[in-house]
Amino acid sequence: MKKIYQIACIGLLLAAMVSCTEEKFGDTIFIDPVEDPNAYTKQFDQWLYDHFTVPYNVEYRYRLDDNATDPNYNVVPVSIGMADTIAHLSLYLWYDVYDKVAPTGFLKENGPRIIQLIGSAMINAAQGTEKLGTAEGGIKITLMKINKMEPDNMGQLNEYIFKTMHHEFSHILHQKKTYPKEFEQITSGTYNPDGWQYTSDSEAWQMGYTSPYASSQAREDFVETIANYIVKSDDTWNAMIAAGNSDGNKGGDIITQKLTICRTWLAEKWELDLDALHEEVQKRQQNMDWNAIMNLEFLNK
Amino acid sequence: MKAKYLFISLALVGALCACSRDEESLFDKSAAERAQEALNNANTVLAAPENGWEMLYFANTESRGYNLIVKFDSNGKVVATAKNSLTTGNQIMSDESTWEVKLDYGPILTFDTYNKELHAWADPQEDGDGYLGDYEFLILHADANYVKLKGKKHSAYCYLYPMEAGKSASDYFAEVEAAQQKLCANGNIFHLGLQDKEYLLHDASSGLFSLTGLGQVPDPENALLFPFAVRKNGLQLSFAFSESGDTWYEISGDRLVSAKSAISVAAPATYFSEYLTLAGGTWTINITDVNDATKSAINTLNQALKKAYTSNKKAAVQGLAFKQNDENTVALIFSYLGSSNKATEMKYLYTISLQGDNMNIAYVGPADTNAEKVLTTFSDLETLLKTFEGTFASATDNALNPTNGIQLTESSNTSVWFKATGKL
Repeated sequence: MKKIYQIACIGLLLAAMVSCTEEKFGDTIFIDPVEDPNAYTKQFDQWLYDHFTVPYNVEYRYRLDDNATDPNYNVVPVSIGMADTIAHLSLYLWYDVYDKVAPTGFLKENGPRIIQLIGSAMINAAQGTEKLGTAEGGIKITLMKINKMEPDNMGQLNEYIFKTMHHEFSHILHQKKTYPKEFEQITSGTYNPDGWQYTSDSEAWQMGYTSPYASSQAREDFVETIANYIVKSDDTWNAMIAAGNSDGNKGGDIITQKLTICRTWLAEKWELDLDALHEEVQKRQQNMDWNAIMNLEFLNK
Repeated sequence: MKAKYLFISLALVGALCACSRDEESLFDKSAAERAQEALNNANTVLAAPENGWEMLYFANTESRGYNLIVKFDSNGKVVATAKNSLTTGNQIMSDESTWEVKLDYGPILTFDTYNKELHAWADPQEDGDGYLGDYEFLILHADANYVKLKGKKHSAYCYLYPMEAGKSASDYFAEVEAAQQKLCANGNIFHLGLQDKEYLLHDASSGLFSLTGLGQVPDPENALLFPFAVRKNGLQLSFAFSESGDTWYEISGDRLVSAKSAISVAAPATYFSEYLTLAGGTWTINITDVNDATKSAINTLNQALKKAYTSNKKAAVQGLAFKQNDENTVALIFSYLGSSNKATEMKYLYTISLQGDNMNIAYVGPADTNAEKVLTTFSDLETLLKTFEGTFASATDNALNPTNGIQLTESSNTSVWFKATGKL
């Protein structure tokens, strides 16, 4: 019996040896890309690496791979010119703000790992809605409709870009540390995930929401409250609160109550001073010196 | 004994395994090597033409093809130049962005940063769809003479041909516009000969042929549409007609030919009638270059109009044009300036019938009571109207598009003739 096993083993070994010879594999089937020092975007790519990847551990993607987008929507890439402008503004109105008011290394540790720019919005014509941004798993923030932005129009940039950035980043923060349940209870009876787009601004304020989209669901309400507070001037914010309290409504008071919860949560969970963020952003928005911004003169000041 | 059998069995298994490596591979290189070769080939081919490529972009199956010039640099820059109403306001404009060939289902050409001239057809616009074009393309074919691309998401098609060395963008677009005028202006109608059958291709000026049987008008609800783009020497279809593998139709003499089918234009007399009845077009008579009898009749009528409308120094005949009136008659639209500087139009009816290569035009009378009144007031008008009666031979110097100019000459009296141009 032992002999039979020996013979069987020798036979199998021979078969295996014979059938496994010759084929050679390298470390990978993919061929390493050769970095072209004369590449058209080399200078911009290096600048992005130096100012985003190294200090904040984030890849700033402006080229678009359609595989990385939602196939249910039609989109187009961002122009290099707008990608450059938004990159500078992102440093000025977002990254450098956190460097100034947040704990050291806050964005490097908690910020998104990928920022993807897309030229158009994701438009759902049937519902009359458009997506301006997404946050995926605390890793990636996608910002859309960039090609339609007018760099001199701060209101538009705030509404479509920077509010979206703060909105999506707040999603990343609450995906890491959940927000207080008490926030969800305040207006739990009036969230409308399917019909929020038919709500006007003033109706939303009177119901206790900072925007119509905030009325869609609690987690959107939470991040909209933070984002709107950061980017809106004091006058605009106070006018919204007053409008929310008009005609016998208590919406303004509700928004203030929600803001207090957000403020406390950011301070306790993230050591972030929401009012300091708001003040720094407002100061910078009122001092939009384009030469200084494009030459990064605001850094380290 | 058992061990011996087992040994033999195992040896056979080993031998079988050993033979399996001798099976001939379908390919002489590994998948990775072949993929890399395809990428390298596409990169090399696209960046090779020193003056770039003529690109014909078909965003979808229901709109015309657009002409662009695209120049791929090996450093990843692409410059696209266009002249059209959609993206450039009919001015020649360029934009630059990035391109890359990457591996997906095969080699994919991607324009991965926005270019105003290239991405206009993929932009979702307000309705979320826009023109449903693409910016990532599967490379179906790529060699030095020709590149064919198919959009990855919506199946937009692009055809690329090397630009002539040294040719400027303005010269290129001027040539395309000249070909457009020569072949397609004024809603030209072509005949398509395909496997012993003949079809009509309507409305060439739209860049979108509507295909019907002979003598038929397209049904807007169920039209068979074939997008095409105009090149210097002919027409490029987005996809082939049924039963034809060809998409490129090149000018040869007075025909557009391909390997399997030809596009032609009806003989002038037939065309004159087809253009009225099937295209709904108008033949405008050149009243400044006309035979002596007609010219004399117009001059006499002008004097009568000036006499009748002394307050308007501009009172005169303004134009004469044939247009289909109903199933049986054609109207000659007579327009003139009378008491005001706004032209008045009156219709006078004719019958037009084909007699071999000739066309018989017979005057019927005024179309309505107003036309009858004008005819009564200006008796010289009838003389003018009757100069268009007779049996006419037709000729054109624009065999591929008679709308650019057709001449009708009276068969029995060659001094009687008139010239007309077509307009939709």
